[in-house]
Amino acid sequence: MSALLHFGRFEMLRLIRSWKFLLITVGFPVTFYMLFLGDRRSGEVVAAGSVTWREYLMVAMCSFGCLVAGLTAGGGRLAAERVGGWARQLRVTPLPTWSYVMVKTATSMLVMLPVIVLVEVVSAGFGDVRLAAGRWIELTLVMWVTGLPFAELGVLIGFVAGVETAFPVITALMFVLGYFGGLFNPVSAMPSPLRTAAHLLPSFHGAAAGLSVVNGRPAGLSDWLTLAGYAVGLSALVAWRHRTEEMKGLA
Amino acid sequence: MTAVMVDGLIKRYGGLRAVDGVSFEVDDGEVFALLGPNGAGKTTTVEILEGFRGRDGGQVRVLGMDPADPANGQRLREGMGVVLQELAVEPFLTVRQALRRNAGYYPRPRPVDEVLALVGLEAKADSRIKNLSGGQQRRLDLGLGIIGNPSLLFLDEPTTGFDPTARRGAWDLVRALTGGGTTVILTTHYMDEAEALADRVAVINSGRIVAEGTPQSLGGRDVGETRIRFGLPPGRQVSDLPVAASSVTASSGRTGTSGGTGASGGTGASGSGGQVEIRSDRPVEVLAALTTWALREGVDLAGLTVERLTLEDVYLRLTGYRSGPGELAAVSAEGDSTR
Repeated sequence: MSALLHFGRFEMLRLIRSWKFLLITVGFPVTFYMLFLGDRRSGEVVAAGSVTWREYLMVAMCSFGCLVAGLTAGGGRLAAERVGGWARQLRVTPLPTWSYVMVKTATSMLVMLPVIVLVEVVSAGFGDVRLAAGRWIELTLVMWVTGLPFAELGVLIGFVAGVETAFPVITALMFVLGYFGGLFNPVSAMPSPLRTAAHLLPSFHGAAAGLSVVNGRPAGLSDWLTLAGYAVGLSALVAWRHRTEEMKGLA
Repeated sequence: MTAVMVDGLIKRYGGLRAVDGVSFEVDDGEVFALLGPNGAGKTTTVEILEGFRGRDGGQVRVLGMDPADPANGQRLREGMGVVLQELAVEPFLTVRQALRRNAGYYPRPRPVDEVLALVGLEAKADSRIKNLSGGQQRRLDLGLGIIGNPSLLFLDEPTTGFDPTARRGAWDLVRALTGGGTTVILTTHYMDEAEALADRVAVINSGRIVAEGTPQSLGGRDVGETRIRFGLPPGRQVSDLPVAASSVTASSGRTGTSGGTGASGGTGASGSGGQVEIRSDRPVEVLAALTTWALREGVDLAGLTVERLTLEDVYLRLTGYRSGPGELAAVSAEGDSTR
């Protein structure tokens, strides 16, 4: 346990040192928010429960920000680290590899928090979104928790993909999960087959959970169950990948 | 006590037996070198010992544990240090931070400052790792290998890419460590490195150990043949010598002229100066005959040297290296021209 915390401390240090990465990851979703808000700042209702576009976009960009942070912090950085030789350097130490996986997942989750808060701040200031104080806190926590599958997905990509394949895979996933999950446009505006497909994606259910909070309702059970299914499934995949790699030599 | 015991180790890749019945033991505090060409099975063997590869047969004990049993992984890694062949690129941490980070994974690490001093990186302690030179990064790798105060250290080609000064420094470091009782398993391509560091050497070829012994006695080196070399005196033929030469090469840039010398009847072929090499397991007799002849004839044996086979000679012979046709051609050409 102390080795885990020790390792985590140095991962935080490494994260802070990579400020360029942080700046882009945190700045990306708010920039999108302001761009997409455009002239639709008015109270145009786009989703059930009289959710306006500016509210919808806030939740969508929180979700998209978590997606980007999870994929790049986990996938991109981890793949680069493995190629750079540091993952091997760690494997020859007594640090258990599961703590490596845990710390990497936690690091991705940590990056998501400022992403969410910044989108909320800009939504309130620039997009005139108004929520009760308790709602803001609830929304922050819900959006953060829904980021877990994205963090795990990133770590899995980092483990499976090489550094050359990681980036195309990340880009494709950002598009697929972002667009088809309804993060750029409400799913209700999509043709029916796509609407059905959206219900299979964690990005859709993450945003749906956030929209429930905006509507003043608890997030739906089906949203939580789908997200939990993804979280459990992805961690099983990471664990499996991990075990198969363990005895395949250092090269 | 035995630090490492390997008995009948087998590892297959598909139909290929990469490791085919390797056995050896390494005592506590010993430096054991594994030599062999690329693809001989060195790395596979070492990775099995480190617990990063499974095996298909045989017994292995490392620090008293079976490295293939995942239950031993933690304890094994606490007791061993591994210096990897390729350097790691860490863009964000300084040398001291990387050492402190890794120190935290071990129950009884060496003090970071002690390691910095041992690998000679005190002046670079607060530099980012990405700003180190290649040699400095390799020394950091060495430092990371010993930060956990291991009782068994694996060194995989530890001085590849070092300049001569840095190599001597690394050797001194390894000697200092073994002076403190650390067991070392070393793989290297440098014969002088094995000779300088190792207590015992095993040569592995095609998955089998083909010879094992001290660097001084490997492959019968201590009792085997001796090599005597000198320049052929001006105006003399190889056939004039009182003993048979094993090989004769013309002096630099004149390889093609030996036939011509013979054709001119050997009359005053001044300065032809071929290099003569004689291999013998009775060097005293050969030298006595040679020097007696030279004194009687009043000629000099320029650059006379007497050598045992080098470790490299033995290694090349054991790993099946055959010298190219050039040398043999030179001998036969000279032989024809002098008879």
